[in-house]
Amino acid sequence: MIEFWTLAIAAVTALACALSGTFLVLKREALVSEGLAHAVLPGIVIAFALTGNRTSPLLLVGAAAMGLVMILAVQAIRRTGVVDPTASLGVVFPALFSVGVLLTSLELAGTHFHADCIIEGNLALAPLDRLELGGRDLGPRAFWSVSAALLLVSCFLLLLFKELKLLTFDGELASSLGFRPGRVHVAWLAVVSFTVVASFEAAGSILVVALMIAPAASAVLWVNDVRHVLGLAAVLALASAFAGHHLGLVMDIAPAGPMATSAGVLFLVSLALAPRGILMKGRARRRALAQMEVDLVAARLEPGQPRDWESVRGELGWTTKRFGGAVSRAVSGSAVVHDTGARTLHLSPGQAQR
Amino acid sequence: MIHRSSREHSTEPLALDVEGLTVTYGKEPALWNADVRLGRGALAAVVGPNGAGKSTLLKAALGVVPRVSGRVRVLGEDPARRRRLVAYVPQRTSVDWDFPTTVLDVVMMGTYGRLGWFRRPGRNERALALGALEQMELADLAGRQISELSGGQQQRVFLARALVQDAEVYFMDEPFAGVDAVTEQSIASLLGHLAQRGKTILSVHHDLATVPRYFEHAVLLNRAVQAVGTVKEVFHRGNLDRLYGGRVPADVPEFAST
Ligand SMILES: Nc1ncnc2c1ncn2[C@@H]1O[C@H](COP(=O)(O)OP(=O)(O)O)[C@@H](O)[C@H]1O
Ligand SMILES: [Mg+2]
Repeated sequence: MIEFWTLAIAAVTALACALSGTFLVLKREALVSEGLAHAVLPGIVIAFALTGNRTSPLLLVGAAAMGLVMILAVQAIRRTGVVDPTASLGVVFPALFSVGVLLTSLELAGTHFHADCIIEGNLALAPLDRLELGGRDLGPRAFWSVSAALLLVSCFLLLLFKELKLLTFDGELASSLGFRPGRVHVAWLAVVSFTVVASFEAAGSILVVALMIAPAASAVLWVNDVRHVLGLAAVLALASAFAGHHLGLVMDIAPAGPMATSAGVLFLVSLALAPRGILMKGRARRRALAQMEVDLVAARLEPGQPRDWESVRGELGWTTKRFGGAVSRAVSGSAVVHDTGARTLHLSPGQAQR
Repeated sequence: MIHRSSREHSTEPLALDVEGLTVTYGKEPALWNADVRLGRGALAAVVGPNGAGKSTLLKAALGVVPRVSGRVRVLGEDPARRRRLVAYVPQRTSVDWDFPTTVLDVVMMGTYGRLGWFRRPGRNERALALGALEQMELADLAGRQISELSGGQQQRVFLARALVQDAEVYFMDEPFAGVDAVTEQSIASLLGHLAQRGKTILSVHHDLATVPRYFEHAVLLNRAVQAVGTVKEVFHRGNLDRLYGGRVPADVPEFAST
C-alpha cells in the first residue's frame, strides 16, 4: 500500500509539474521554475510559522503567494534595467533559498524539514503523513496537495489554453486584442507557484525543476503543436516517475534522484534522436546534400544527348566515388539514364522540364 | 483651449485621431507629443530613423504600451472599445518562430478577438483562416511548421492573420522588411486593395525610395511628429533632410514635384 501511494504521489506530481512547466519552456522562461523552487522555501517556512499548522491548506496558498511575489519582484527588478538580468536571478534566488535553509535549521516553530529533504524531498516517507478528516483517514496529505495542483493546472489549461498560447507566442497581439497578457501571465505564474509548493515537500527542489523543464524541453523536439507538446511532456514525465521509482527500489535509494535522472536521460535521448534533434538534423543535411549532387549532375545533361561519364565528372571536379554515388542515386531516382556499355549519361525524357 | 469644433462638424469620425501622445520607457521620451490624424481609407507610411519611436507610435495607439499623456481615438472611440475594428501586424522579428505551431494555427489567432475569452476556435474560424491564406497565396503552407518558413512567408502569414481580423484600421510594423521583390509587390497591392475598400492603414516603412509608390500619406517621425500629410505635401527633400539630419541617400527621388 505504501508503494502504491508513493507511486501515486510521484505520478500526480510528475503530471502537474510537466503540464505547468510546458508554457515556461515555450515562453523561454524555464529559469522561473528554478527561481520558484528556491523562492518558495522561505515562503513555506514563514507561512508555517504564521499558521502554526502544518496541515492547513493555507500553508500551501501562503507559500505559493510568497513564491509568486518573489518572481514578480525579480521580474520588476529586471525591467528597471539597473541589474543585469542573469545576476538578478543568480543573486536573489540563492539568497532566498539560503534564508529558507537558515529558517529551517533554526527549527522555527518546530518545522520538520531537513536540509537534504529540501533538495531530495521525502517521497518515500510522504505516504506515512496522512490527511485525516473527522477521524477518517483520507490517504497521504501529499497526494491531496499535488492532486489539487494538478486539478488547478488542468482547469487553467482547459479554460485559458487559447489565451495562454496567444500570449506566449505573441504578447503584443494578445494585448491589442484585449486579452490582458500581463494579468493572465501572472495568474498562470500563481498556478505554477502553487504547483511548485505542493510538489516541493514530497519531490524536493531538484526533482520539481527536472519534472517541469525536462519533459517539455524533450517534447518540443518531437512534436509540432502545443497540444501535442503538452501531451507528450505528460507522458514523458510519467515515464520518468515510474522508471525512477523502479530504479529507486532496485538500487535501494530514495526515488527522487533516479526520477530526475530518468527525466534527464529521456531529454538526452530526445536531443539525440528526435526529429528536431542532433542526429536527424545531421541526416537531413546529408540528404539535402545528396539531392543537390543529383541535381548538379542532372543540370549538366540533356535528354537524348548522351555525354561521356568521365567528362561530366571532370566538369564537376568530384572524385570517382562521389560522382559514381551521385549518378547511381540519380539513376535509381530515374532522373538520369546511365548507359553502362558506352559509359555515357543522359537525362531521362521526363526530367527535361526540371 | 481645445478647439474641436471643426472636427465635430464633419459627419464621419476620423479613422485615427492621435493627440499629444507621449510615451517613455525610461528617462527620455520615446514619443513626444505626437499628433496624427487619418481619415478613412488613408494609406499612410510612418517614416523616420532607427529608434525614432515608429513602433512605439503604433503600440501606444493600440494601447500595447502605456502612455504618459495624450489621447487616442479610433473611429471616434477609445481604442479599447474598438478592438474588433483594429488589426495589428507586429514586427516579424518580435515573435519566436520556433514556437511549435502551424501556419494555419497562427492565422487563426486573428479570430481570437472575435471569439473573446474562453471560447475556442472551431470550423468557422478555420474556414476564415484558410480563406485568408488563399488570399495571401499561402494555402499550400497551411499545415507547415512555422519554423520552416522563409522571411517573406512569415510576413505573409502575419498579413493573413490581420486579414482574418477583418478590421477597419490596420497598424503594420515594417511589413516589407526582409521580403523578396515578388512578395513586396503582392504586399503593396494588398495594401492598395484594402485602402480602396475604405480600410485605413498606418504602416511603418523603412525604404524611402518606395514610399511614393506604395503610400498616399506620410507621417515623418523623430520622437516628435515633424510632418503629417499626403506624400506630395510632406515627403520632400527638405523635410527628409531635417528628419534624417542631412543623411538621406542621394537616390531618393525628388517627390514634391511629382
Ligand atoms: N521595451 C522597451 N524598453 C525600453 N526602451 C525601449 C523599448 N522599446 C523601445 N525602446 C526605445 O524607445 C525608442 C524608440 O523605439 P522604437 O519605437 O522601437 O523605434 P523605431 O521603431 O522607430 O525604430 C528607442 O530608443 C528604443 O531603444
Ligand atoms: Mg521599430
